Amino acid sequence: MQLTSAVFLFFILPLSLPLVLLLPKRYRRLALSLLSILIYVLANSGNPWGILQIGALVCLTVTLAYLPTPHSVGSAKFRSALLVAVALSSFIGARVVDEYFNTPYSYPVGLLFVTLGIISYVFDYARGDVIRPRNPLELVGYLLFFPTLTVGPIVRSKHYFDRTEDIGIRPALLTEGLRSYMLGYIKRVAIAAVLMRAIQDLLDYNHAIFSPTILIALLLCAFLFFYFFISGSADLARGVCGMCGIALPRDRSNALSAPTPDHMLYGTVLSLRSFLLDYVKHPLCGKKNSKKRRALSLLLIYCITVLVLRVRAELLLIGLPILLFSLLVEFTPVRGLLTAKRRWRWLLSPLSLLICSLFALSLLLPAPLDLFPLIASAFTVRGNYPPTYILGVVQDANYLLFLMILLAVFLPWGYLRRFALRKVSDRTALLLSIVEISLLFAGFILTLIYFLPQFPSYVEYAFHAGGAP
Amino acid sequence: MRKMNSTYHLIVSTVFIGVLLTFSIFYLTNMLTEQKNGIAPTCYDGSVIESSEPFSHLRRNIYQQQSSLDLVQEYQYRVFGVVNSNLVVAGKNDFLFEIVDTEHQYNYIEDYIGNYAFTEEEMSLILHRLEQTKLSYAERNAEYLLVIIPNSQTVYSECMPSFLGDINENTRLNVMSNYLIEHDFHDFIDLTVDLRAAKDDGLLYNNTENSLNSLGSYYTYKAVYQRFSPNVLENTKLLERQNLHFYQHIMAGKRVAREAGLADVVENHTVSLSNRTKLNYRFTRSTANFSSTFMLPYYTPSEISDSPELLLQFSNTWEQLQIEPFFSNTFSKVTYQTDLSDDPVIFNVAKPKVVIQFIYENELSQLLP
Repeated sequence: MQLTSAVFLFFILPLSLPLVLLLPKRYRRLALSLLSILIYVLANSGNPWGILQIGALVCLTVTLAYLPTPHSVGSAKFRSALLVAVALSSFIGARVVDEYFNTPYSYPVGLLFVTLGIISYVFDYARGDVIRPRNPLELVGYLLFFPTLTVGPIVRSKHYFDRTEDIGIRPALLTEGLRSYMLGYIKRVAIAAVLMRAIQDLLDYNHAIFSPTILIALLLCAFLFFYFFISGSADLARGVCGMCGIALPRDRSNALSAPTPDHMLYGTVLSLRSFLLDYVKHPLCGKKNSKKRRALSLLLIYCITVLVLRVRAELLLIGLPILLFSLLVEFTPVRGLLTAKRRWRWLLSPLSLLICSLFALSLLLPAPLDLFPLIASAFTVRGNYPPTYILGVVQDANYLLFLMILLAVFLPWGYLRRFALRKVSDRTALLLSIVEISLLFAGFILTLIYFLPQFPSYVEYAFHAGGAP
Repeated sequence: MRKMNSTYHLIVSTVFIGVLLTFSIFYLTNMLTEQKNGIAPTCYDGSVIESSEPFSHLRRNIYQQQSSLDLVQEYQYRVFGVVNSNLVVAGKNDFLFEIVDTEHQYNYIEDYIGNYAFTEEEMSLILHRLEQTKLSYAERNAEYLLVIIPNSQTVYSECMPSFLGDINENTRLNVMSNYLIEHDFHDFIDLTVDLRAAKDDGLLYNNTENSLNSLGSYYTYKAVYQRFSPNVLENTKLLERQNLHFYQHIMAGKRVAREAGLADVVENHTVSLSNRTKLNYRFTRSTANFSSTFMLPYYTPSEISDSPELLLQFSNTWEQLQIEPFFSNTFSKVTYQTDLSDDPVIFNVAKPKVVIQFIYENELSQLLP
């Protein structure tokens, strides 16, 4: 079960949230934890091995967290390292088995975020940024926090425990949450799902009609799919949190116009980049911040990001241009140029988009190396198909064309909205908000009626890279 | 974030809760009053919700609800011109075209684009077979004529979706016709030109099935009739268009519309021959495979009347029913056979002077040995 699931939206959400919010304040975090556990079990129903694996991992974390604090620093460090190592090996092992072996075992939903949650808690606790919660269930609640469990964004433990201290109804946050949820729902179901079907259509027909035009369309669809899927998921999570009265930290980078491909790839909406900078780069570079250490940390961040997306060694090869770009930006005057001259950013964006699109497409293919024969086949002439034939191959071509026009119109909306809300009078700002929320409601209802019944598997089950289209 | 009026927050929250509750109550009511025909056999994407899955009952009412899926398909077709089927493509003017004919291993779209013509070897085999058939009937004092009815996409190519562009010159029918003519085989009629020329008179094909309607059958009859010898033309009488009354009516979408799940959305514009048309013939024999008609008042053999006995072979009964009033009202004895085989029993009953085989463009592979 995901946040887009009809059962979650129409039944679990309206029934559970009031129950949590109506409880006395001190019980709300606990109630939220219980709700997270319940939703987690529902999301993994049919995967008992997965539930067992996550259950064991969570139990180990709670046991080690609530053991008496060791007297020596060495023992404390050993305990933390053990927990991180177990969590990482459990995650990598699960991904490898799921990717390479044909066994009845299937990768449990949310294992990535549980693993990252454990790492975050261990680091934050060691740094003194977070104190041990009063009730072990609250720690379980953090690890299985349902709004962010399937696709993120990654919530660090210090943020979670700070922000869930005082759960309650806050009208402004609630409205913002509803707005964010509806926007995320539209992005995930009315845009990303249709793009995924278009990719499926294009790949199904590649044997007969693949051409450079179709390759470009495929790359664009792959990139946009990832963008809308991940940013939509983040909006959904932020929306549900807002409804609970929890404000999730916001990533402000815009992946669509990021100047370098590493910024696009590191999917700032997933918060992975800031997570890795905080827990990998900064501890590694320390105060010395030497070139060697910076390069090593970049390499590590790159490898972790790629392997988090999909455990396939060949992806490291396909994504190599992204690493080279990030090294170039880190160690040459390019960074200064990008900071000084904004127009360079816009010039580099299309190149970054192309590199990231290739990477995104390889993530979707069952075997990432199939990307190269696919590109080669685009330049092999077969049949006399008109260039417009692509509109017949993609079932939703007309809708996607219409969507592209809408996106082009609404692309600057984010900037305009922030700008307008700062500059205009209260009355105009209210009017703008009413227009915006009305459009969102219309889009949301349309999505529920028209798009939701079209994608039952997509909205209900977690998406696996390399599996879905 | 700018501070908003509390009324604004209240209204937004209330509307959101209202929307969710409306959907919840709708689906719950549907689930509680569930009727068997209210649930579609599969979801939109072809998947089926298994009973073992959690909330399967509820989810089936959300994703497999027939009315909901019908609504999606209807608006998909009306707004975006899309059909949720790998077998059907939506054209202009309410035309629905098939993509694949699995029975004859034929791809309509590939042929339209010009990627599906017979190979030289296949055409030579077809030519050889046609010559053999002709010879076989000639030995029994009968002439042979092959009538090829083009696909609706060939005649109404302007109604095909724009993304396919204009019809290619190298369609299977075009290439094969040219090949037969080049190799001096002239005992066939490609009706493409005749039917295209008759389009101004009205709709000739069913818009939701690759089949001729009554008007299209009339022009087929007319084209075939004009191929007879002057002697026959002199001693028989062509049914003139102005003396026939056709009327157009609307009915539920036919086979292709049903395949696309749009039978109630895309109606079939049917053109039928009026009931006022005088049927000046009677059936003398009718079995599962064939039927014979004599023109009234009585049958006069061709040796006397110069109206040749005909054996018309069709690949389906629909064409026979459509074309029967025209041929039977013109020729003294007509036998209709519902397959293309050379059946000696039927041949002996029909004793034809001319054997005419009607075949659709998508069925041309049947001519291969």
